[in-house]
Amino acid sequence: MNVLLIEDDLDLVDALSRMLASRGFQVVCCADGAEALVMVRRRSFDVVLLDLTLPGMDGLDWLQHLRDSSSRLPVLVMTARSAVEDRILGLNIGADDYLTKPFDVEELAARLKALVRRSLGVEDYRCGQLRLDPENGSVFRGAMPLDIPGRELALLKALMMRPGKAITKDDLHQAVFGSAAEAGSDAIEVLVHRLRKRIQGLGANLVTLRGVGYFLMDESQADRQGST
Amino acid sequence: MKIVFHPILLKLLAWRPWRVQGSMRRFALVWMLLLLLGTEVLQWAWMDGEGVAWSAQAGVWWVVKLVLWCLGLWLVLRQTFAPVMALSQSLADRDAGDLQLVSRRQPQELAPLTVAVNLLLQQQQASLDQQRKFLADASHQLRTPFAVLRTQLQGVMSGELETRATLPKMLGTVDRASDLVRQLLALAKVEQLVRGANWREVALDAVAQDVVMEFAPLFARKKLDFSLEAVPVRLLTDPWLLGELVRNLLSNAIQHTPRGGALGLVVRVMPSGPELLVWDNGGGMNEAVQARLFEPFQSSSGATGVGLGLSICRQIAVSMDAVVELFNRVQDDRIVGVDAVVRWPREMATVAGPNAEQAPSAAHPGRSSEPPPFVNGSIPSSPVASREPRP
Repeated sequence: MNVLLIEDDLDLVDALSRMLASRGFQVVCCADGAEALVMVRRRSFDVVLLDLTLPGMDGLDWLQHLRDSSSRLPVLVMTARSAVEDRILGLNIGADDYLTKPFDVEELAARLKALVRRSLGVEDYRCGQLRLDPENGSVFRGAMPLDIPGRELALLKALMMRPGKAITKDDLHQAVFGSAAEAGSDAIEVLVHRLRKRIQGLGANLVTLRGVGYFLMDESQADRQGST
Repeated sequence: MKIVFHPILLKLLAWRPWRVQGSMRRFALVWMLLLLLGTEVLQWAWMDGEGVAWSAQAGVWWVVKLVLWCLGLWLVLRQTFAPVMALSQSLADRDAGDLQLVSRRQPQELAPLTVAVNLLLQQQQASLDQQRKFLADASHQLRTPFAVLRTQLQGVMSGELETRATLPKMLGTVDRASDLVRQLLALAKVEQLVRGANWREVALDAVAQDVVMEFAPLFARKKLDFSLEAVPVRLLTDPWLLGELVRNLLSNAIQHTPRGGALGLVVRVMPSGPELLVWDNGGGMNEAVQARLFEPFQSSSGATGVGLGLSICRQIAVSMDAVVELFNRVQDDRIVGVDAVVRWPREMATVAGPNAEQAPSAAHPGRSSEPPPFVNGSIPSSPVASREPRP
């Protein structure tokens, strides 16, 4: 994967490019906005990693220039500005994702990969040993399709399609039963109970937030982040 | 030879009749009467005591009298208001940093002004002292992680510290520093927003739910048993401020709850007004530091936080006329955890929920017998006691 890293802090550039390179990315670095615009036209990149505070040109202006030239290149913005307005502005102008400094390099790599997959149309969702193929909507355990009843599958899909985020009970109810509310409010709990048993030992942990909703946690990530 | 003056003589020597002493009104009255008397005496002398004046002489006299009156009145008024001019001059001549109190030896008419100015100066001094202390604490807190990082790094580079063991600790130090910076910025933003006062109706229950969703990965990582029980409550405030309040209280609770422990959030309307309760199962806090926990950079022993969270909470609560308090929750004569309670006055809630006077029912039908935790300065029934272990 070819990454264009636009960042003016040379220490960060050095460390990031090494760490990304060891994770299979080919990184090209650039500290100047205008130069980066020329590079984007000349070479083909899979994704851009953009710092918002650049010398000479604001990162948001850079993004605007890129989108004005009708480039659909995925851009992940990283910045020390954490104001919500800045995020919204960045996403409105055409950033595909947003990461606030300081960040976890694992998370950055995961998000870059997800962005590239999404732009290539081969996005799939993973959690533990489970993999959801959005093309045909089936869930795999490794290479084998997981054989589970339709409603549990719908529940699992709804949970897997929001990686790293909780989902409210109402939203789950909507995703599984649709707007037809013939199912009682306990129905989701029963389904969750069954699903939890079914995916036991597959590296995915279904966590209950009582009174709020549910959260599907990749256990390998929990262990990694918990140990730091 | 030593000359000894009689006290009355001393008083007479200190007497400055041409200066306001005591009361400006009395000074002006006395000198105007003297002026009147003086002109009368002059008139009497002018007329040679004859009393009857012929017309031309009387005309000249009236001109002289008018001039004397104007001059005298101008002098009397100038002297009467001299203390006011002196006070304003002394205030105007001050340096910006000079917060010395104004002398209280002023005419009685100026006393309310002097008291008000002094009160303002005292408040200014107090806020300056507080700012100085905050800056000293903040610079200490900001420098410490860098000192730690530097030492750790030097230790690793010289081979005195083991790389594998030290690097994760360094990551922890960096996280602590970023947390501190985030909280310092949040504190600045709170101050700005509180001053801006661009407030509107915000649903407390919805804000609480959003914060819980945001924290979901943390609950999962620590395998915490979490529950939210909320009735609809709308408050007049800023949504970011309210979110920050819930975020800080919940983050504290998560920090103090051991892995696998229980914690929860309750939003309800009590007869006194709406209330937010964040309870944890973290073993309670040291009561000796309880009062100081809301001051900046104070944290309970063993806490890993930077100690700004509760200070931010109190500032937000005060801006909404709310009160935020911490209680140790006691069960079987043993402290089992902390209840953080925010109480809003009744007027702050614009629309209360349909079950306004009741605590929310338990989120799960199977647990409906579970009483919501609450401490009102008294020994409560613990939510933990009746909670089933998680399957």
